[in-house]
Amino acid sequence: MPADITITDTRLYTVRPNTPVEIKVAIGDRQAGGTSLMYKGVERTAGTGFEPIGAPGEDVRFNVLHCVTTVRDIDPDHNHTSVKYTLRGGPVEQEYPFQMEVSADGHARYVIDFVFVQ
Amino acid sequence: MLRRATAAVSPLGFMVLLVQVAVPAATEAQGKVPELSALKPTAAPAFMLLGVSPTSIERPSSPADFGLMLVNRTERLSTIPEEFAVELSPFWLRRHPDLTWRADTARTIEQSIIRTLTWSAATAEIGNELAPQTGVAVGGRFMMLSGQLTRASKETLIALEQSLAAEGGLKNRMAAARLKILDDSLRVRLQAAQQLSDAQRQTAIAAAVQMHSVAAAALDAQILADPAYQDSIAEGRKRFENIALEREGPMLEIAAAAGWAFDNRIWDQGGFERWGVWSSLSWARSTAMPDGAKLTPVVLLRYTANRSDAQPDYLDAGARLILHDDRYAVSFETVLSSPTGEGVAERLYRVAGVLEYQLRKDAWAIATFGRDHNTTTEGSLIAQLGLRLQFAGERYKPGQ
Repeated sequence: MPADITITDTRLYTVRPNTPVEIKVAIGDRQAGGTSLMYKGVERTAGTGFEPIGAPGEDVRFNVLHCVTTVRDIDPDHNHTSVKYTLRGGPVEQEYPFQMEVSADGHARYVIDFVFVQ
Repeated sequence: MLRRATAAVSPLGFMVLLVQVAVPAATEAQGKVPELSALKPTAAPAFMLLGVSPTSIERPSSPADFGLMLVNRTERLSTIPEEFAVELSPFWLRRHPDLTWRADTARTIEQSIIRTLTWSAATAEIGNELAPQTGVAVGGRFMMLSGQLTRASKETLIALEQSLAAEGGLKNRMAAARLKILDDSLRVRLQAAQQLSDAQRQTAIAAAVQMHSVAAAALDAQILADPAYQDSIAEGRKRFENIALEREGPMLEIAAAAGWAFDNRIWDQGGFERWGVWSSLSWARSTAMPDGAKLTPVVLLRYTANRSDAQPDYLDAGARLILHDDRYAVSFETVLSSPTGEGVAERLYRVAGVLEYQLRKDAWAIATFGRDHNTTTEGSLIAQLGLRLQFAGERYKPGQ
């Protein structure tokens, strides 16, 4: 089995006071993948749509959202993998694209932290 | 060996049928009516036209890869490479971050053509020691109809996604306590930075985030290398070691290729030799049998125009019925070859049955029995027993 390839990164997202945010994780290049989200020590699986981060009215400033997305190469036509995180709820909706190449049937792991700043 | 063009190619007006057309015949089938399995363009068209089965096929995955390969193999575009085979998908030369597998379960005709189009090119030595000859062929193929992902395949992918998310969940939970310390520390620094002037605040935020990022990356690396974590994900991944995604419904594949031949690799002693168009229509996973064994009919038609006046042209019509389950595949095929034009050649037919059985995970036994077109010639009795190995990454599917 080919070794996993992991990338880690930390990105900033500007939020509003007392306003929760939402995140959507899209796995592209026709590959299969799953994402775990952890916010304030609570872990859950991300679905295919926008996921709320924080309760209504909650101030998420200065907190960190930990995302781990694992993508498996299932496509015989290529070995590209890509993940696009979209955050909204702040002044601007923002996309954070990541990509990497794996070997056939390989796994790509994206360990991405989002720091919510003002 | 490629044949010289000595006769006009017959019209191919029946291509709108479900069909397979090739002009002239495949290389190895010169003067011999091809069997049905050879009609279906399962290999890249350029390879089929030359009659070669390359052991090494270049598959560039980006424009840069393609450019590099071209420059290297042609010695900076100064020569035609020898024994060369390449197949590339223009669609997958670039990334498609917005294309999810869910968006590809069903396709429009346009999407099907764009996403499945591949180009191929090959060169091969096709002469002999006395008369060396180099063949060059280029071809393309696409699926006009490519069916849709089966329900079982979708369920497999959803289960795989859950398993992959669980891997990340395990990592997050194993790191949770130590990440909380890092996050709390970061929060204190970020809050403190709010008291600074604008310029100082940005610097302080960047420094705090950098410190957190380095510490979190070190923690991640430690957990991902933890034997307990490795053992746990290895267990989950066993379930999905060999994923065979299947599409069902109507599949219409069309392929075309053109070939040139050069004696002694001399330009003036060569030229255009042949071209071909193939098409096949199949219906995978009959709805009549939604569960259990799957029934797949394949209908093919092909016209073979022989460029030698000494041999007749043939119109071939064929059908293949494949019944397969996870462990076996049984197929029955027949081809009727009718000579066209003036001549005394007789109508010929071929009938064959193939049984494939999975002996182990990576090995299939294959038995074939039947009769070939001309029953008076040697080899017309088809009786073969063999073994087919599934190498990693080939994603072998029985009956295809």
